[in-house]
Amino acid sequence: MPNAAAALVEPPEDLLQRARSGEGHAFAALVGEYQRMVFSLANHFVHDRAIAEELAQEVFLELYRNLSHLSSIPHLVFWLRRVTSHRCIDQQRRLGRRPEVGMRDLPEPAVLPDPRDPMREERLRRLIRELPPAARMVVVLRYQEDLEPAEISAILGMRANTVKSHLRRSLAVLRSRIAEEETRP
Amino acid sequence: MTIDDQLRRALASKDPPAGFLGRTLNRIASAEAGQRPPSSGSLASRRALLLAVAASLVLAVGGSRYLLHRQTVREAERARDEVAAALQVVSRTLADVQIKVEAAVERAGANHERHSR
Repeated sequence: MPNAAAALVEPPEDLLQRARSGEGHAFAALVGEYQRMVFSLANHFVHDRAIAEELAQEVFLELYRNLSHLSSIPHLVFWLRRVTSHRCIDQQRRLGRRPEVGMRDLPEPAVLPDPRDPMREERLRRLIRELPPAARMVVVLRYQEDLEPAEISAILGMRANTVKSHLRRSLAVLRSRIAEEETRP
Repeated sequence: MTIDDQLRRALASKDPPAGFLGRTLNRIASAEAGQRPPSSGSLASRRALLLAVAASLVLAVGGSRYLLHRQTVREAERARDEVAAALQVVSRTLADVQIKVEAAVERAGANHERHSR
């Protein structure tokens, strides 16, 4: 989602053109435009604002060094999503495996109880954090960026059927875990 | 509400912490400056310097205010360029008119001479 203040500055294609020619102000405006998207992808993946900021800064540093290879705004957005996703997954692998929710043998409840629970969003974010890295990034790209499986497949370098399978199983896990927590005394 | 809707709400994008833009630009400028010798006059060094200037401005005035300030500057520059272009058109038109007037005066003078003979 573009930053409101930056979006007012000028068309992003012009910003990219000027940033590529070395204008620091234009690059600053580009970062302003896409900081929300990059930071949120990282934050939803790691569930830690300090680590998310660190990751997002690394992505923008890499962007600065690769500006000359980016020909248009759609290319830039695709590149930012791809680099952010891969950096998040790599960072997770560097930190080592954490307890994750099993993806098999989970019953799927028929309905979700009490959908307006104000604590549900935070619980969902915490449960997403427990999904395995690749599945977690698929879920974040699907629901934060509203991307289709084919687009996620291109970003993550994963077959579209694998993306669909991650989505299906992750949703089943999340439904089960929510139901499980809500029936706990 | 379906789980899709709940996930969209839970994963809605949010702004980064205050000062993120300035810290990011500062970090990039530092990383780039650290990679190149200070005496180097290359294009990359010049770009790093320009970025450092932008970073210091963002840190001084804050990200959103900085971006709005840049918008105002760009709009002022665009308005100035438009006025300059309009003045050029007016100037060219006046020059054309002047040429036509002078030609008409010359023709009138020549006609007057012919008739007076």
